[in-house]
Amino acid sequence: MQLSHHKWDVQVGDLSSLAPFPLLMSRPSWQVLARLAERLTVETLAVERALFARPDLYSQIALPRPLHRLFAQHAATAAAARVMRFDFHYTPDGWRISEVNSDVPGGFTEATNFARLVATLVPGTSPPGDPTHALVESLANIAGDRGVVALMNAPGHMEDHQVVAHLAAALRRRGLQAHLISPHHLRWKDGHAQVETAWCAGQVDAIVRFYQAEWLARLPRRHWSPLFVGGQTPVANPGIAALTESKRLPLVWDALGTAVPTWRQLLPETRPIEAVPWRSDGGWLIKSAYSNTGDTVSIREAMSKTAWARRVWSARLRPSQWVAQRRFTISPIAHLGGVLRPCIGVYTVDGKCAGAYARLARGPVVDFSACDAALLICDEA
Amino acid sequence: MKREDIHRAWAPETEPWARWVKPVVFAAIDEDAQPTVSPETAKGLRQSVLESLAAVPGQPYRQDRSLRDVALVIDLPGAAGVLAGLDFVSDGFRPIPLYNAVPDAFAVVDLTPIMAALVNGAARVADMSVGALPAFLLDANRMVESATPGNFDNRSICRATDFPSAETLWQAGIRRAVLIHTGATRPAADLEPVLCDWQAKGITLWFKRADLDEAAVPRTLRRRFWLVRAAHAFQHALLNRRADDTYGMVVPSSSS
Repeated sequence: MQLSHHKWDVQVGDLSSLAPFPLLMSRPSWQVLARLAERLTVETLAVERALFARPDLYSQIALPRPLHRLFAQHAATAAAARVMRFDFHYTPDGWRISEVNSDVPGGFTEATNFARLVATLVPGTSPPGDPTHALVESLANIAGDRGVVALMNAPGHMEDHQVVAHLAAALRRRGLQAHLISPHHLRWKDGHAQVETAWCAGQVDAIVRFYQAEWLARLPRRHWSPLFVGGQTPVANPGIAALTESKRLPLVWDALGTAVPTWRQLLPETRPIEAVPWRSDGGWLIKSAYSNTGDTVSIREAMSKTAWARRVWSARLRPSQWVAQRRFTISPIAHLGGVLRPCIGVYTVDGKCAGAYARLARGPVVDFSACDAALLICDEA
Repeated sequence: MKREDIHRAWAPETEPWARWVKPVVFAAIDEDAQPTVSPETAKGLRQSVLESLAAVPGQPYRQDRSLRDVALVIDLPGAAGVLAGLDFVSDGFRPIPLYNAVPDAFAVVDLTPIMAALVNGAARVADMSVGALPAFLLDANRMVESATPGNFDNRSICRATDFPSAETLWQAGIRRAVLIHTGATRPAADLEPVLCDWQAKGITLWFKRADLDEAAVPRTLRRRFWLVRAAHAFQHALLNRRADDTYGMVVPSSSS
């Protein structure tokens, strides 16, 4: 995994980030998850389209301010592919989801290569899919079999760099040209993207944006606005995904009037933090509208007093940037005298289920310290 | 020598400390890399550190040859860290490379000498027995301040999560940690909080300046004045040269 499959963060402090055992799931159970993820994708895209036309709701989802006017005045840039990952948790009451990673989902090499390698050691099992293959094929359809794809990330983040390095290698194996770039390498001419670096130059046929929308929005607009609107070069994921990435999205469902029955069935109650007693009632957690790897998911009992006090201060200072969600109990699995809480991230690529990225949380929150596990599907009961 | 063999030599599965070896520079080594020269060593540095550690405090004529309670942190520029680490192999220290920057032909921090030194030193660490003490290797150039415009910014910082925790070190019997560094009295700003945590757990810190002909000495490390720490945090922010949480990008030319 480390040398050939771009898994460079295998050790975090004292913890290994790769579980030495697989998670097994029956095929019927997996098919349930796959169907739910596909239905959630349809509903999410419907919400996204409806919300794009409702600038009056942008503030309610805490959309970064630079995107407000942009979205209100231009057509959305086309998708080179559309990838989402829905985080499922098994509870005593059945499956629940905590959120969708709609903007820049990662975990491709773990979901693809780690699962494949572990499956070779467990007879009668197979990975639930190959999200890398699905994404690469989707990009090849758009960019052409010999097309040029630029993959954009923030290079200082090793966790992100390994994702785009993995995808670039897969694209090259497929016969496409792949260039790793930062936003400052992009030049735009009539909405068409060109790359200018010391090592490559020229027009690109598609862009993989592994760079969070809220981070891009802090950069000078000339570098990124065609990734969101008015661009002629298709992007995966297009910037419009920022709308459905917001954890405050459920707060505008009623105003939009779009049917989201699967979301309503699976997502715990979600409220503005001003509307619930989240500081005194341990049945609520809070999280910021835009966060990564669960880094702002806050549960009082799971944090130090100082960390909780800081989080309370941040949330009270800017309540419109946060949201409260009912906590649910994840059915744990026993391991070495402790418990681990599984999170099954189910990918869809262009609406079709494409695999899963499983993580095992050591605490109540699936965050950076969670370890990756290979989810394998048992072909026999 | 195959890349996998080089990595296995530095990070054997049987060696507990090898879990912390950072893989990214190994992943960038050629599939079939050949050693170019025999690893050089710096005998004076090793001798100075070992003699200082072996001397029994307050009893200059007695020596305690046991170094089983020692971890090394070697924070030297470029390949010098690898070479210094290799020099301690014969004394039972296993070099643990913690180089965590992305190699690139147009990079601000040139990792080529480090990668070459890792290739050259693989045969030496491959023969080590299990149970060695850790010698963590860092590149002192990881946060070099000057960056040439147009180059790929692969500068990096080290964090507490790049090392074993103080508890793990303590449970392994580590009671002394020696920082071998150069150019300054204090540790690098990103490394200092890590060492302070170790010290808070009871591990005694020793310091050895590689650029000075002096003995390694134990010293209590006090956190910098909060204003100085704030300045360093600000410096990290400047390393980003942008308002988001990221760092690392092509250094813009002055004309762009």
